Amino acid sequence: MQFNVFKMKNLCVLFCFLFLGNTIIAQTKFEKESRLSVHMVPDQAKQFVYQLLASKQVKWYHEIHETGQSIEAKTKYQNKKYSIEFNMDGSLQDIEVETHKDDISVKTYANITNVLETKFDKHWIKKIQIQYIGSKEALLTFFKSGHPNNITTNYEIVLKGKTKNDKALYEYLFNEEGTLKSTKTIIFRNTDNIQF
Amino acid sequence: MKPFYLLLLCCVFSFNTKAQNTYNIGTLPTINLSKSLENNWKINFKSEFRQLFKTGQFGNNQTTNYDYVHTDAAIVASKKTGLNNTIAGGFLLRFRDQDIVKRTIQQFTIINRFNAFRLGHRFSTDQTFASNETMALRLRYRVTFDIPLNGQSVDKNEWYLKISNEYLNRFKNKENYDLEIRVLPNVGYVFTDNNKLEFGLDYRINDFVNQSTRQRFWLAINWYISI
Repeated sequence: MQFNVFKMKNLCVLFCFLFLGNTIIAQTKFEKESRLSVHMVPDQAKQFVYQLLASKQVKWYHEIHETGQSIEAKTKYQNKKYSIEFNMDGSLQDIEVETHKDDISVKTYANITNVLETKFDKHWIKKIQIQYIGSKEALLTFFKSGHPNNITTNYEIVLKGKTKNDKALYEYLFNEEGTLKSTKTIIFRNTDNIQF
Repeated sequence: MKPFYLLLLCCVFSFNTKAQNTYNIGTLPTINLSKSLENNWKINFKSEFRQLFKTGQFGNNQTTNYDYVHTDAAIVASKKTGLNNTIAGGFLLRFRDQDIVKRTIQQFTIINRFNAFRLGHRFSTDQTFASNETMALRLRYRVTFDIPLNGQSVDKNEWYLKISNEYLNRFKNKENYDLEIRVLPNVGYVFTDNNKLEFGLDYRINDFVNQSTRQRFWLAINWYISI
């Protein structure tokens, strides 16, 4: 029992030491996404989503990034995943629709592939989203009739890229012609609690 | 998975009706401290403090003596070998009464990330060396599922649910085999991505292949810190 008392005392000291130490050490990027009740969503955002899609199963999220906040509607409609992002006042930012590479024009996809082949030894595409940016009226017209007037179309691609030294997950944004606009490295959440 | 848990539940209750079936109830706090190194290496220190509060046989009197069972200290070095894969190896010291048990550990982990949850598969082996005993070999497989209780990813200041299910095959001598099954439903809280606290049940059942089932119910409290 003498040994046990010693162990318990050490345990308490260790817990206190680690906790106090960690409050000083821990610094992470501030990014938070949480479910949002439909009652909290600005009316103009709700109206737009209901005008755009007949889907009734819309999930609303509140996102806080380092650069600001946004409201996002996520839904599945006619077997496609939609993600519609709004500013906090309900004004529209963009519409993203998950798609397949076959839905991209051959020329654009060839340009995208060229870029990726120069960047990586090998790459695997995980997800493609078409991003539509424009006024609400222009986007509603486009989704109802298919006429793209005053709409900017981008391709947001999540891919696994392998170089000589590293493998990582990236988000690449291309314009309608397949020209690279921006890249981001996706940082994974800590996996210690699954691994150990 | 549902039929499996029903089967497990049936097994638990059927074992309860037989004599010589024992149970333990206690606490199992652990601290996990990790440090990332260069070239995708990571070093992990884990310490576990096992305390027993109740032990006895189902249907008979219980004993309630408190017992501090052991303290574990383990060091594991891991290397990320792919986007989702990690290999790891390490060493554990178990301080039990006046004895020190030694264990070597090897593991391979795959973590799949989905839109709203993560799924981890851990394949591991370990070899345990105790004084005056032959070496015990264990082959283990654990599947872990974690899902946010709010939103689509587990963010800072949010809760999550983590459920693990592990199968441990233990070989000792030629004729001594045992299978242990663990089910661990836990709730976790994220202070930051590098500082998480989990608590829940760590249920373990073993020796049922030898007709003398032992069931252990631990209150698990796990603290994961990454620096």
